[in-house]
Amino acid sequence: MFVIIAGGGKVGGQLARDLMAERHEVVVMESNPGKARALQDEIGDAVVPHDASEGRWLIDAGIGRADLLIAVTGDDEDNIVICQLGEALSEGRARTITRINNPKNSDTFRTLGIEAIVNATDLVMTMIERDVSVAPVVHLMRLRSAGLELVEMTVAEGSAADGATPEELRLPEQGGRISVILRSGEAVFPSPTTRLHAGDSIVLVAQTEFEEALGRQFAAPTIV
Amino acid sequence: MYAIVIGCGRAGAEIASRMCEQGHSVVVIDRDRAAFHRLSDSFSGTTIVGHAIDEDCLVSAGIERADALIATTYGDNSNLIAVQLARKRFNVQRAIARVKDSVRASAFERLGFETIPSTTIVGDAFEQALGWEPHQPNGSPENGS
Repeated sequence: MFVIIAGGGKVGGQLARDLMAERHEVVVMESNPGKARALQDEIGDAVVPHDASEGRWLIDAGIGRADLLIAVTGDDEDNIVICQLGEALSEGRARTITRINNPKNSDTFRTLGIEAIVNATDLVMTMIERDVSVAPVVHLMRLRSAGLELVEMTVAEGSAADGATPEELRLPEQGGRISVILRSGEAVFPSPTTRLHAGDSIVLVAQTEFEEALGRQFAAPTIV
Repeated sequence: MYAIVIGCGRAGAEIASRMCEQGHSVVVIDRDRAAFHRLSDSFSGTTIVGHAIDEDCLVSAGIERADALIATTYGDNSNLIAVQLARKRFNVQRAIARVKDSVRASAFERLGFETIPSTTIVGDAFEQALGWEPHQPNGSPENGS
């Protein structure tokens, strides 16, 4: 995957390192010269020392062939416009994901129908469904964007989930979906009727507000 | 016409003053109270200290009954967000953003938002002054690797 990260702060830098470790092609855009230089010392040519919302630099960075654009600057307005610009310049090809720093803005953007939230959900779903490698997804969801949590849990013996199916657990109604079951080292993509067993590791996408309630059905949840 | 002008820099103050001269009702919003000194003596509207994308601020400026929103701050992104809010959230008929980055301006034009691409306009004006052929903008990236 070719990923452009807008914002080379703590989150952007860490994302870049993680994605590079997963052998993805990464470009980080950071307009602050000091931050850009520090990051350049570490990851070299993968840093574009410019503002990602400046169209020509986003084009230069390769938005025309990017699979994913992640906007994690400290400014919500910038993040949103970067995502919209990226979608426009890639003619909808690049998926976008953004961090919303101020919850007040999250409501504003939601009412606007700005697609950041939908995209985040789409992105997580598609990546989980398509990619066997779950690790980058876990890292992405550290962003806590879009009110979603990605949670890994082990089905405890005797828990409500032990021996039950996602359908029986009524997960969708509770704002959750099991994306993958890791069983004996293999990934199982569950249907609504796949039976869970004690010892299964599950990766659950959950709306933040329901995460705790969902977790109780599996007991001893661990937030990744 | 009832218009909201966001940003009271040179451009914002200019358009706000002109609108008043034309007999329109104008509210100007700026984060910095000191910015309002740029308004000319002919300005007869009201001023509000606040932020461009703060919905509460826009509501108190009367955005729900505004006919137009003019976003002129120095930040292209703030202007673009303000215009989207005006159009999508508050159904303002005309919402126009000053956008200095010409690529960003044409991208948002294609998305259906009105922009004033100030850098392009100034470039064109210089070209015209020099008597040159009009420049053909090129705002789309090359696809493929």
